[in-house]
Amino acid sequence: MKLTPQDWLKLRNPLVFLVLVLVAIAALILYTQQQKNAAEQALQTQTNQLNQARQRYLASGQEKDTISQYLPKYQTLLQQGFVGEERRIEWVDALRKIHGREKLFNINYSIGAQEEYQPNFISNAGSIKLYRSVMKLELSMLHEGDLLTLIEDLRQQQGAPFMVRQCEITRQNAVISNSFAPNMHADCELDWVTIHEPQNVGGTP
Amino acid sequence: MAIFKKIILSATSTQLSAGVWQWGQLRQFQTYQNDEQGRSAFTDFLRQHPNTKLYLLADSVEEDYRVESLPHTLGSARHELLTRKLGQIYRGVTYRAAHFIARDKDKRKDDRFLFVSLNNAEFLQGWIACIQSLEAPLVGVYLQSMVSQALLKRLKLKQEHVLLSERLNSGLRQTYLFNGSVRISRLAPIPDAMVDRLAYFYVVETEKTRLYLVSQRFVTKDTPLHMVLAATDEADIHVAHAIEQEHGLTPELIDLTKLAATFGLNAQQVQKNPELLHMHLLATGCVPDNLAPVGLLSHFKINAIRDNVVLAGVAALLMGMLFSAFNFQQTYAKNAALQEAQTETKLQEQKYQQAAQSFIPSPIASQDLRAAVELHQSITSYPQTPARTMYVLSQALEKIPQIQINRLRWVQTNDSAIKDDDKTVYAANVKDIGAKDAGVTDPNLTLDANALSELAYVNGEIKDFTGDYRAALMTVNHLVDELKSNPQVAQVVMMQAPVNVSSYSNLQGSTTDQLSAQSNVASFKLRVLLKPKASTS
Repeated sequence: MKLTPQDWLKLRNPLVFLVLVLVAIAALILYTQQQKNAAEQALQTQTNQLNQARQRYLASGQEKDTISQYLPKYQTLLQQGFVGEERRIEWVDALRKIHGREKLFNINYSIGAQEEYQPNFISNAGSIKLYRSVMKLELSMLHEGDLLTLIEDLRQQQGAPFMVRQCEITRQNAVISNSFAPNMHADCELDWVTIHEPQNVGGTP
Repeated sequence: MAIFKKIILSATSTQLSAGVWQWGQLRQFQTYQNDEQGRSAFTDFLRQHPNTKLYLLADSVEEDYRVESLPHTLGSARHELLTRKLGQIYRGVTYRAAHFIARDKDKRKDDRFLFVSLNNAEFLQGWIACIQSLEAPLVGVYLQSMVSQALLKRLKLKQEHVLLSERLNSGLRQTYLFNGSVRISRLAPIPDAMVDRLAYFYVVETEKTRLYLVSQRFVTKDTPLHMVLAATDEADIHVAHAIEQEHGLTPELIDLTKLAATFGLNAQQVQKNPELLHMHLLATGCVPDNLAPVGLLSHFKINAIRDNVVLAGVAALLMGMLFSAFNFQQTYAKNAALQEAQTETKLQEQKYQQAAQSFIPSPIASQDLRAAVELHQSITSYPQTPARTMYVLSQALEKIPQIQINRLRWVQTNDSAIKDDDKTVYAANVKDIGAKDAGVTDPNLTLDANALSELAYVNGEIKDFTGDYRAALMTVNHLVDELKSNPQVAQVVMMQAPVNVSSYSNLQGSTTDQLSAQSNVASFKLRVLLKPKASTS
């Protein structure tokens, strides 16, 4: 059936009505759907908060025990410099002292810029952010024991933990001489790991 | 609303009956004489009901009925076949239709059709002109007899041969139905002289009808014909007696006034205008095949499109409103639940605050305290120096003094793709042996990604090497075996052997190497993976 212009004229108003209805309904549905989604999301968020609050209240006894158990240890870490800013001056001083005391050959060191650190071999970091500075030590040695002495002394004098990630020891001379001259060379890379004190979000008194 | 209204028209040669039906009920009924005045009044009537669908029943003497069989077809093929057939049978006839009766059960299983037409439609022209001038939506033109077929179905008469006699305003209409389906129908106008001799007139016309049926071989003389007489008054009872006496038939009387009551029609109105029954059936959905050409129905089609568009709009509106209402209800319910959850959360927080008053003051949350301490423990749990690796190596070397270590690279890693960047041994070997791909194939290293492992790359050589590669190889293999025997060692791989005896590489040297061996070096390279500290303790 072919429609004439007069037929289209007859159909104009109903078609306009249909289009208006469809537009209005689409807008209405969109609006109500958005409202529903927003309400759903808000409810979901609030439910999660409620569950957390419940859980927190239920675990308050355990929390009290945790504080009693871990606060002294945490304060020790604070004093050692594991928590907070790096104490680089103290570290350099310690290195100088060890060098002097142990009568080691020249030690070259470098400490890189601090960066956020997310190693996958450390789990349960929670909300705590880990930072590291890559330190490089380069020294000539009479024998390999010098390296072990240096690291051990550093560990004892430096409260903040560091992880020796790699060391390369190379022989300098084919024959080890008995004279007071370097026979070996060591090149080490250490991660100086610290954490920043997290915000007390939970409102713990 | 015009959308729920119908106007049913019944046209005879002398008048037009018009009824307005709404929701299946007759709301208005009028008759118009077939003259100028009547048509003018009818036009005014139509103006009062704009956009209301019109169904026109034609009641005429000049009707034609033919039963024919056609090859079985469906869809557009059937439509084309019927159009062609109608053109053949009723050339030049405007009002015509084909009514499907049934499909034959034997032979070719043809389709059986009843072809009907209105051979003289002059009495309709005036009314059609009025309808067309107002662009009223004419749905179709139908034969009175075809609606009688629906009447019979309503009466549930299932006899094989039925002769339905109805007294209408136009005259006596006798319709023959075979198995409930119309085969022929004839209208005999009642002359004024016969009004008082109705029984005689019926008897005569019934005889004519019987003879016609026999001549057309619809029935034989012995066929038991079931006559149904639509009775409106006492006169019809006398008619029935007369027919019984003359023809030996026992007419079944149908009381139209009672029937009208069941249809919700006024009995007196039906008595006066018996065609009202047919009009009512048409209004309530018993619509037979249309005889009018498509051109006459264009306004109806446009109206139907318009109505459908409006209905679609209304349906969309309703569905949209329903869906939105559902969304509103859901939103309201969720907001109510949100408020409850907020109140409950506050309550839980208050309880917690009360409990927390007995806590030791802490600068950070308890879980962070714990995490910080455990983090420190985790970091310090890993080896702080290469001492363990050195000790393992020393133990092995004590038994094999002819080996000299030139380089030790100790790594704490969880990276299975780690590569040693040292090339000295490879270079030396290539130079000495002349094999480009010298060395032992490095198998894939698999480390635990969640923990650090101690890995060492050990470069060494055979002291005072004299060119005896067999002895050098055995010495290095001895070292490997010694290392493997250490319980702290997980894996030892010889990455570079003092000599490459693989058939896939070149090997060259001199049998006098022993004499000029000062310049040769038997270098090797091992990769030693230690077991985690805890597992060896």
